[in-house]
Amino acid sequence: MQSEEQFEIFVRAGLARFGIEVEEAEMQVIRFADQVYGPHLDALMAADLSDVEPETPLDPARAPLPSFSAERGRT
Amino acid sequence: MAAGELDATELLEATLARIAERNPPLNAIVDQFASESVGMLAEAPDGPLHGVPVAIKDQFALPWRAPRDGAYANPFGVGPGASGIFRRLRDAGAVVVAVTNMHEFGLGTTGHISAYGPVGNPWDPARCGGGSSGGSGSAVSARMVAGAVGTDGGGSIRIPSGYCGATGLKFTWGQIPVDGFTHGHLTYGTAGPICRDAADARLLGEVLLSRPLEAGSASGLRIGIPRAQWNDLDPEVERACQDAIDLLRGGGLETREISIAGSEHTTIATALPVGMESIPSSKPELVAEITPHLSLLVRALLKYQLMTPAPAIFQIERVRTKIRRSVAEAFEQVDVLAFPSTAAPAPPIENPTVSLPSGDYPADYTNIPLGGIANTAGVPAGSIPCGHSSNGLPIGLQLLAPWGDDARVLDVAEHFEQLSERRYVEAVPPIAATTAA
Repeated sequence: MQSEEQFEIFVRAGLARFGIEVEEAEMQVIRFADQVYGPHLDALMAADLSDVEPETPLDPARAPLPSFSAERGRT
Repeated sequence: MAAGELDATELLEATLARIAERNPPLNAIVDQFASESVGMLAEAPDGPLHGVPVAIKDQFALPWRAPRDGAYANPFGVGPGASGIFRRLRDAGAVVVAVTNMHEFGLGTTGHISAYGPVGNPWDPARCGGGSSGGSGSAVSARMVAGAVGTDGGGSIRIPSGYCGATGLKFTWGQIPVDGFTHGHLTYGTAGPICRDAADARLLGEVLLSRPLEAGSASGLRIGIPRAQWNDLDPEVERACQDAIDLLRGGGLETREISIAGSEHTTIATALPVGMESIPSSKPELVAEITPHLSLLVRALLKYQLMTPAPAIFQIERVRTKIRRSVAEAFEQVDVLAFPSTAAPAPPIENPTVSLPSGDYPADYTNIPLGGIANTAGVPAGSIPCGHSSNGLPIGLQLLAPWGDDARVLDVAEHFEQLSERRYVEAVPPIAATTAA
């Protein structure tokens, strides 16, 4: 479990790598955003999606092919 | 107009007067064009929208105005010009009379954060008009214009339509011209009409798509009810939407319960990529340049998104495919999917949180999982007004149809309007009832 202090170090150090500073007010919003969305991100990262091949190329205008292997099978 | 009962010049003058009268407490319109609209009317061809005043979201270039994306400026380099959507309106004879307010960069579903100030709701101006196309929903609901163009990357047409009691349609992805559209590069987002009812949405939608949305019968269609999207709702929203489903069932439609695999990840699979696509967060130097000009919330979110772990992107691609395949499988069993447009009615601007059975949450947090499924999949989806809360706020039912079958959403919407004797689409908010007609 990441502590609040560790999270803040992660954010500040990561953004500093890009030359971006974080004001305290922004940090408060970032902490809140991470409380709200962080668990969803953790759940996504933990999800076993190994049976799903991402569509290549993705075409949101159409229904997907049943599977990537089916797509590869097309000639 | 088509029946020759209205004079186009008088209509334009009345529209401008109505905007001046009703807009101040709502802030739905952020720019109006008295002289340019007169010029458009003078040159308007005899198209399907000849002389009809419409408003357009602050994401499209106009010949005389660059879009600002609800911010200090758009950072995408889109300047003034005739955007593809503008050209379609112009060529149909429409008169672009105003630009509508929106949530800053489209990064929210409430409309309470904008460089122009918050968007109010015509049913209660102290409540959110919604986002990100909040100005379009509010302006239509307040009867300032008959139709407005919105865009939708995570529910941004359907949420303000639901909050304001309008009829909104997000098209199937990829059907509109994207030149001059600040978010034309999004794989989640597209445009669509927000109007009072389905007939108007069909008319404006046909113009935006430049193809017919042919009306068909909704009788006998099968409605899929994904139960996971009916969980943890405001009880009044759940009741109104369930009543609407019951009315449709009584009107000849069947219902069937279905599930959408992977939809438990819709929140993050929508919020993260839409945020990344909506703002130039991939360029840290640009983040550093633009953040001093942004609201606290958006600049903090922009910085937060820069810290997204790269493997999450790959997981999102996988879960997106999973959701798309599951939606496709659902449409082998049913013709439309239905669930609430929002989990609760419009929250207060001062505190945009909603109370659900499991607790209080930011409205965005509860709206994205409902709005994001259609964007993740790419399918068309609409919101239709189906009730009011005990404090008089509109409630919307969301309808999704298969890829390319945008008209089916409107077919079901029109069928519901007939079954409900048009009482929800004819309902007039207090601000439109108390000011001069």
